[in-house]
Amino acid sequence: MTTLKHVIVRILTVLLLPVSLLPIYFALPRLKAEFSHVIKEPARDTLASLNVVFSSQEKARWSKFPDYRNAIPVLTYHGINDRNDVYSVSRHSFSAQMEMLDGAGFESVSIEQYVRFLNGDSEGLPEKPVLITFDDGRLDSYRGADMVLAKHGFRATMFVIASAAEADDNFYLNWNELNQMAESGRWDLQEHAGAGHHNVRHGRNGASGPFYAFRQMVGHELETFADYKQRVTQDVLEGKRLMAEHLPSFRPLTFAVPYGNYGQQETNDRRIPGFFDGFLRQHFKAVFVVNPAGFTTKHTPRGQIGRYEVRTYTTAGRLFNWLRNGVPAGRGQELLANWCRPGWTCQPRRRGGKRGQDASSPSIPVSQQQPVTDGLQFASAQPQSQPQPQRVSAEPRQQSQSTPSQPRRQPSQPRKKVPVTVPKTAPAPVVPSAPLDALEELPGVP
Amino acid sequence: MHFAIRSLEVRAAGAREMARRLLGPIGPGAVSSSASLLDHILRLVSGVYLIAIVVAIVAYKTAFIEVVVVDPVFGIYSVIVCTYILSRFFLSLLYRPSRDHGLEPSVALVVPAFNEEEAIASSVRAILDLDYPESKLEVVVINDGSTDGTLAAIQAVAAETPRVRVIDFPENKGKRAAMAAGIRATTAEMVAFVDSDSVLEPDAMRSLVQGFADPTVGAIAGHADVLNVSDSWITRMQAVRYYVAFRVIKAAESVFGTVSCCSGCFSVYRRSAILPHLEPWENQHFLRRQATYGDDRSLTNYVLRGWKTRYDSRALSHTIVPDNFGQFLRQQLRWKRSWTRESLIVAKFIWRKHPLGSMAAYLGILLPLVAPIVACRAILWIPFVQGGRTPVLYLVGIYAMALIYGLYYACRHGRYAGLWMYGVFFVFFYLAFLLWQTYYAIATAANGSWGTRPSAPAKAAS
Repeated sequence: MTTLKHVIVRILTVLLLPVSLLPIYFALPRLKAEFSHVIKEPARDTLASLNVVFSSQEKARWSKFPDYRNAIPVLTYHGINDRNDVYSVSRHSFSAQMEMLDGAGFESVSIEQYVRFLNGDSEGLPEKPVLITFDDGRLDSYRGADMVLAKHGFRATMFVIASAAEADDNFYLNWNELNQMAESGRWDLQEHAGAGHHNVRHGRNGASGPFYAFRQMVGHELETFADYKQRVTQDVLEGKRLMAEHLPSFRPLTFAVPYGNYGQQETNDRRIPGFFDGFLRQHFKAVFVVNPAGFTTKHTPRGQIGRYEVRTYTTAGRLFNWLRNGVPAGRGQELLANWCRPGWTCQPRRRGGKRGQDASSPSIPVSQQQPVTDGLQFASAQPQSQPQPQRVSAEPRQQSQSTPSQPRRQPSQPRKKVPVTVPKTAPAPVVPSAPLDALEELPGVP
Repeated sequence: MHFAIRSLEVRAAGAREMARRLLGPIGPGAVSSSASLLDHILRLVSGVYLIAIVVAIVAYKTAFIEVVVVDPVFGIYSVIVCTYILSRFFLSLLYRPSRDHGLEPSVALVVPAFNEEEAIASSVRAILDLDYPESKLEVVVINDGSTDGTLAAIQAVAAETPRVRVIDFPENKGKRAAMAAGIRATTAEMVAFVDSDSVLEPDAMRSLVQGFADPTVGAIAGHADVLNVSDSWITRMQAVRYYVAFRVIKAAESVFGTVSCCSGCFSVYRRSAILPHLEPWENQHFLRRQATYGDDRSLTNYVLRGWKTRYDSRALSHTIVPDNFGQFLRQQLRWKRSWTRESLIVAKFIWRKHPLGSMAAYLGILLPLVAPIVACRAILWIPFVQGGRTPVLYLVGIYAMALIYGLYYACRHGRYAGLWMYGVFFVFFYLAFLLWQTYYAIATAANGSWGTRPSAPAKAAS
């Protein structure tokens, strides 16, 4: 027995040698990843467009996209890469989506054309205009998208975080690249934020929310409203100044609000959305948020233009359905859709809900944490730092604004019957994008 | 004031234990006659593995040297630490023990004892068994006012042989006073100190004194292995640690003649090197308090000013180390306190020594001071305060260094033994517990007590 025990012990001690390699083996991918972020200069050249083959059925379906007038759908992307997080779109998906848009007859417009359209000047607009936007000024967006856009003769608008471009961070485009993009004629550059693309702490319990949407804690006290105003205006104007300084072709026309929230969705001071909207409108002709997604029409409030947020799992077919279902109806329905005015509690009658549940809808806690923007840290933490859309648990009131006949065509979808109060300062409520996603399997518009 | 160095456990084990271990099959602590072919193969494999890790680390650091630009403070720190540790290993390859010059200088062996009634007799007998000419080996045992039967035990041995002289203090005066009295009472050319819980190999003394053929050498440290290896996981970790600390760290220091601590387990000094410093050493004060422990490091520092200090890897002693967590932590705290005191002294003069030796000495002072900050940043600050990133890179770095420690033991030790894994554990144990003692030790450096209890088991060797 002692011999046996001896042999077993011996074998175990020998096994220590290979076993000791395991921790290193398991850590290898992480080591590689860390250094590709921290050290290795990433490739910065643009990537080729990927070939997408659609079936003839699909092609036929694309080609039947209905006509629309006096409206421009707006898409927004965050990044083009193969990460499986919510906000990255793979190169293949993006290629397919552009192929679909092309097949459906869409033609992209520049931000100037778009703004002219807002001003009532539709001259030179293509038959099916679309505005393609990217948030954050990320390098991967440019690398993945540029050649695809070129292939289809499309152009896009990049909303740039000025401080990120200034920081020369590997994750973001730098000023040189932004200038190259502008010179290519495929890209328009607009402001996304100065440095305010992160959350601030606004509660003693450590709750945090978007930079522009909240008065933040300074020490143990909330800053005053005056300080808030000073902080956010300075940030936006500094971003604008930086962009003007580094980008000769820059014309400040529009502003895309980080996280799509400047207080109209959630805030700790009712004055914020009104103030910030007013401030932005002084300096920009139009302000983009995310929700409610939809086509821009002349009724769309300029301080809150919704965009279709394209995400990891948005297929070309799903995007097609979104757009098709979002095609604005005739003038009468448009009027109806915009019947509800700020301050009113609206509830479509046919859905039989009760009116006026609570005047001030409870603020929704912001779950995501924005990591510190330390150079090293930021790059590796990027996947988590994507803006999370502010979801509102209540049902949208204005189905017609984005998807006019959605409820009727989706009887099986369980729905909460919660009325929404339209806040005075925020003209339009929020349409969550989840119901839109659910539309994918629905039959086409009759 | 209590230098008596024996825990209750060790007392119980005592003399019988030592004798049994020395006579019987000694665990992995001793070498080698029974090493089989498999052992040789496994040692070879470990060696190749070790070299692969070293090459990987060097390649990694070189390939990503830009980290120094990205993150200057911590990047440079990591490069320096890496270079420092690897340089220890490379220098230790250059180390050669002194040739046998046939030297046989007269040696006075000083054994201080305080309340050691069970162990002292066997200690002294092991000394008497040394393979060294009787006429050239004086043995002085000092009873420092023991309150138990120590004096009787000493006198019993002294009665058997005239070679043992006994000095008896009627009251306790402290270890340094006892050692100084032993030095003054003898006239031999060399003075050797042996802790009463250390046992010497018979040829240890003869090997060690050969180093004194170089007339500029003032002190030589012998090698210490852990005697009670199999007692607990704490002693197993220390076995690997001692092995690396002596074979690598001290050997590397020895190359430049700047061994920073001739440990109390077994060291020999040239009388002419210590006589001028005897009084200041005996009465050393730090922050207005009498310095009690750290006598070995302190005496080495006095000698190092004017002489070279070396290490002899063939002069083997076996020593008993703390076998439980609490004792071990207290011992390490004591070492760190004396390290604090002596670092301040050594920093003042070591620059006059060999540039590489003095640079290593300064790094040896600086790095332990910075290490807790770096560890804190990597393990606590970045993941928990800055949010997110787990310190994979840092931990893998630590693990690689730990593997080097462990594998060094595996490939250099006579028989391949699983014990090397304890070397890996030790590095993480150090990270978890010992690293953080540094600042506390500095803050309480003036504290002179041996531990929490007056008779806390302790050993002032390092």
